[in-house]
Amino acid sequence: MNPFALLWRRQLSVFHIRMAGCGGCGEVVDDMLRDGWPAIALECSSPRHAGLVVVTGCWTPELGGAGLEVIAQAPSTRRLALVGDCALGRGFIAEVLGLAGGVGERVTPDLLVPGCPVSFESLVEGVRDVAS
Amino acid sequence: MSFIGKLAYLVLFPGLVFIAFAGTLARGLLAGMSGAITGGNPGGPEQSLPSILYLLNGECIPIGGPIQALQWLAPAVKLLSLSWVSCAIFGFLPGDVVLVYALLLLSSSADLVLCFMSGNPRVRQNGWPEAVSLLGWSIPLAAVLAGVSLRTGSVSISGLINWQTANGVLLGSTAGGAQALAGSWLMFLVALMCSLSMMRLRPFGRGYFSDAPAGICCDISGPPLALLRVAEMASFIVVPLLIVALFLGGGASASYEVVFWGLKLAGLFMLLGLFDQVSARMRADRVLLWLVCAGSACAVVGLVLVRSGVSR
Repeated sequence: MNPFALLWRRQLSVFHIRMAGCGGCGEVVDDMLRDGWPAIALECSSPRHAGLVVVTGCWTPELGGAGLEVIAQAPSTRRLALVGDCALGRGFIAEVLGLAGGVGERVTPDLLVPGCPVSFESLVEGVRDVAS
Repeated sequence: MSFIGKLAYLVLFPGLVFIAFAGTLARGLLAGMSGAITGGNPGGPEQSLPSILYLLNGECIPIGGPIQALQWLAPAVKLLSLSWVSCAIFGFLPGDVVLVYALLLLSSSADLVLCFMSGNPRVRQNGWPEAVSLLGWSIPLAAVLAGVSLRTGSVSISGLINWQTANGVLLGSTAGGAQALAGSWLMFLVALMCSLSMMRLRPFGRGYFSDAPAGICCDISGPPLALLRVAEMASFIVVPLLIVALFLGGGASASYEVVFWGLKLAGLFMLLGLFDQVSARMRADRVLLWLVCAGSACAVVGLVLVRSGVSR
């Protein structure tokens, strides 16, 4: 990132929650945050700072409750993105674990990015939409 | 100037308008140096100034703890203290070394109070290392300021700068003989160590923008977080400004000297940034012991050398 861009560009603060799964979508999100697009989206260290909460992985009974608690700590103006088939409650891992469906009852996402794993381009496009 | 006028002056200039921008550039320079030396930025991508200022409009989530108002008060006090120091160095407001020292102490103490009053046990347990870090720079810096005042015979910032304008910069002036000059160099080295600690740069500092200080940044949000971030950036400029004023002749008295002053400031900042980059793997607790013991000892030796040189 150009150091002078620190003077005029506003980044979207992103807090990433990793749930159960292979971790492939989480890697794509990390790649976007740390190496790809720091000028637009920047990972924050606390959900209290988040403008966008990104969830990857399956909502297992154990992790789902913890994930919801973390999301509840974010500001009321935050957006929520469910990234990857597992987070959307579909795909072969969710089916094998018996976790298919039911996500919509627990959270109201602002951005859905399907894929197994999710593609970098579709993720960037989605985050760009939320940022704008 | 009325109290309200002074307050507005402190907030708007140079507190936020100048220092926040200069601090952002300094942070960019540090990230650039990190990229050039280590091939990456271990601190991760940098948060931009508009992103930080946007937090002023954000939601402030209560953090718990006994005194909620502190999360608003402490960052503001920290920022105003640093702004006042910069005003004293520039000569916009009258100030002496004692006031500057007290304001720097107040600035760091605001962090400490925030740590100890936090409702988060993880933040509270980091309060004591922060307190040791504060002691680590405050004791040697007191001796350094005493030595500089002793050599120049002035306690006011403008008096120090005027003395250097007349006799040459403190690190090159032969007034007081070789002993005083050697003492000044010793005190300059100690002041550099203290600067690293005050700017939270390695090895003596406890890290900047990495949930600093002591995890408070994970706790607070919204406008207090924005003020804390701006104060962290302000320290990147205020501390080098102070060192340049104490040892390298201070600000510009003529228009063409602005260039030299800027070069001194940038050179000093790059030197401190270089220390930060090449000492990334040192253990902070052991190095801090060196700052407290060796730093204080060197400052006292410098003070004695200056005293004996000046009294002859």
